[in-house]
Amino acid sequence: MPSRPVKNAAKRPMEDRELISQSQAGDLDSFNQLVEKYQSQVYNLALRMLGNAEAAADATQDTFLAAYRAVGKFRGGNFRAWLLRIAANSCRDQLRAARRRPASSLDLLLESESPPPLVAKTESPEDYALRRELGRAISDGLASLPAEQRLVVILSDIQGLSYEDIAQATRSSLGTVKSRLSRGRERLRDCLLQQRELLPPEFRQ
Amino acid sequence: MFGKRKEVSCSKVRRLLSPYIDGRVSARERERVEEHVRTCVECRHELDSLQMTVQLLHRVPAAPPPRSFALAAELAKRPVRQPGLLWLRPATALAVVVLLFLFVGDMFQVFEPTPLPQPAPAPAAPEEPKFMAPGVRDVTEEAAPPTPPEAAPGYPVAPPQEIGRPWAGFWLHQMEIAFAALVLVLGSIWLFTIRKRKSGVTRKAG
Repeated sequence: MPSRPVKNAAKRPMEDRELISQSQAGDLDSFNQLVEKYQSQVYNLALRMLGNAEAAADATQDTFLAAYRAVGKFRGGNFRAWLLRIAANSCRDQLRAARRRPASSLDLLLESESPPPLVAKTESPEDYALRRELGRAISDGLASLPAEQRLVVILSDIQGLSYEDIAQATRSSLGTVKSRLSRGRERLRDCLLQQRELLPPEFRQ
Repeated sequence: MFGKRKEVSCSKVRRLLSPYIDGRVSARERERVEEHVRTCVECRHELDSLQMTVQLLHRVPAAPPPRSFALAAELAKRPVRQPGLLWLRPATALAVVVLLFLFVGDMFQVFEPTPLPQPAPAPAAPEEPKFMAPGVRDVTEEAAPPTPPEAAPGYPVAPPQEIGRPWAGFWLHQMEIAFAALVLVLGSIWLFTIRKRKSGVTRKAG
């Protein structure tokens, strides 16, 4: 009998490293465990990049398909950064495909977004509305950034990646990461300050 | 002096604010930023508004994925490379090796026959077919001149422009051309299949 309760007694959770080598040997179940671990990150990256739930789902599916086909080439190191690079490429493909379609679909892609879920049921309707407006302001601000700046800002401030991991995921130098992040944040800040009234009270100047 | 230092510093400090927020500046740069914003109100506001932006981004809620993106077995099993082309790589490699062998041999005149008054069986040229894989041989015969490389009773006379060159060298020359063409053909097929593969979903994994 285990001394402390085991969350899932039927399946011992495996480390990434084990799952990866099993996947490389062709074990689809192991790979799908990796999918379950990382799908939220990949999906949210795509959602923030593309602003559209359907496109984000497509990009996520493409990402894991490509990752499974390429997992043989993974030579160790940061699996998350490797996976998010594939995700970033899938997002770029979605953006390119949207551009090839009539102009209206790109606007739809960047503007349409499902409302954020209620965090707590105790939230008042006014607070919910404010939070929703703020969420929309952030989305609009992100959408106004050039794609490469948007990607770096999302990876850093929403996904929490280090500069080095971002450099790996975007295949660029540290210097490029620093300057894109700096400019992206400044631009987003300028957008938000235009709608000062939406900001939480502690941020209003 | 105090005012002059402030002007020069503002633009330099602003470039440091973003990495400063992440703790990615040197100790000297950090001191510089902190000292500067103590006295410069505009830069203080810059720093505060950037920090606010970062914190708001931190608070963005993660949306739950709409469904599981686990791969279905049929999707995952689709073959990436057609099995029929498995021979491509080793055949190309083999052709390259043989080609190099011929070139090097030619350079060091390994295939030079001992001088004889009349044509004699080529010492090395007919040996080449032994090195070839079955599939490779067929292509070579297509690429090479119609006469097969095996020793035949009537040897063709070396073309006029090769007067002075032993006729074994003529065969060697033909073999070199044949294998060079083979390498080019196989290599371009290989490149084409790589490109074709990469233009699909797997391109993203580059």
